[in-house]
Amino acid sequence: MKGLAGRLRLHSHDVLLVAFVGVTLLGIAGVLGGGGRAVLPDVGGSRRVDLEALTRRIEAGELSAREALWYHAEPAERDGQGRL
Amino acid sequence: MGKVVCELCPRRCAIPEGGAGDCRVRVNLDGRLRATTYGHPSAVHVDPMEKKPLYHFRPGARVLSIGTAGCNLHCRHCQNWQLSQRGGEEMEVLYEAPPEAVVALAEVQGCRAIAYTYNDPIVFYEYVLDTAEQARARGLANVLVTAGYVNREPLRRLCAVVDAVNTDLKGFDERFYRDVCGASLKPVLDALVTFREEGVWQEVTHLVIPTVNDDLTMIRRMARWHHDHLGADTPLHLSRFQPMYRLRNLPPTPSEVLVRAREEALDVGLHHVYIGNLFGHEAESTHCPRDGTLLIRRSGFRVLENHLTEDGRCPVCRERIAGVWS
Repeated sequence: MKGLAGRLRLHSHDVLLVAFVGVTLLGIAGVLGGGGRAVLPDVGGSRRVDLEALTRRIEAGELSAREALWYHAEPAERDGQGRL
Repeated sequence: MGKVVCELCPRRCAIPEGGAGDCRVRVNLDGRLRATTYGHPSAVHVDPMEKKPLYHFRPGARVLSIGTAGCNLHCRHCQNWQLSQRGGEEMEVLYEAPPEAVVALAEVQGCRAIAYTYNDPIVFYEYVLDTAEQARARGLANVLVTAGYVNREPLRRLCAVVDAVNTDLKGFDERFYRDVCGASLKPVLDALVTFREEGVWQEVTHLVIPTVNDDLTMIRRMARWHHDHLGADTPLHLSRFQPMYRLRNLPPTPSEVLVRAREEALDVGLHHVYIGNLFGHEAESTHCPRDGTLLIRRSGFRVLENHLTEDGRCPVCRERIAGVWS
């Protein structure tokens, strides 16, 4: 009785193809299982801003440095020596 | 300098020095939070009140409408994404329009109200507040068009100077808000209730997007909540989706879907359910909920006939129609 490998006579390129398909399916399963949640940032985040452009446009009077309402400053974190 | 925490919206962004909040326009400079678009709108237009849409608030009135860069939501179907998904420093157009200039322009243009719209006005909160105070002092009304993603205390303060609001209720489950808008539902429901509690005239819009939020069971649940928490007289606008931004792969909402959604909302007891963005449809018009008399006939954003009495009643049965009519 021949073994399965003997019957199918798998070659190296077949193994590569099977591996490629398997990895692709795993990737798809990962995305579907995650519900695509990583697309948008969660609450509480912040964004980088082009500070040079922003400062230039504030100085040119095209944008404002008006202080906002409804915020608070977080206490500064202490470094290794306990300094603020 | 440390981080600042913005307390305006439910995101409560912790913003490092030199960074912006999720909205892109509230920036931490030198340890202080700055409202960078204050006095600098990027969109200024005169619209009819019906375009907000507000159908029960000063019908046919001209409204000066302003919007800025930035938004605290990131809807994949946003109609104004060129404004809303950019920071102020990225804008080609930035007008210089301090509050007094906006009010003066509204008066010159013969407008009876100022609308804070296009992007979500919550992200230019301070500009809205100051402009609205000056507008009210000049006898102009203030109108918000918002997604209602805001914390309760800032909203209560804003309500003191706002006369009418159209709030988007974009869906009725948390997953939709998370996946399509990058936000959450609960704060929006809280805001809807706050507007009612504060006595602001409110209308609600639900944009019906094919396969995304057009499930009739969900729409019925949403309408039931609307009935129970906002009241049967609060108008609901079921608006037709047009392919936009990151949802261009979807078709426009079929008219029969809008009609069936409207039937669901009427069936749970809402008195005024309109279909929007489907010009010429009979559900653009206002009828008396008691005897069915045609009260206001509209086409698109135009008021063609207005049969309401001066005190806002049906001319036939004298039923008082909810709204602000004068």
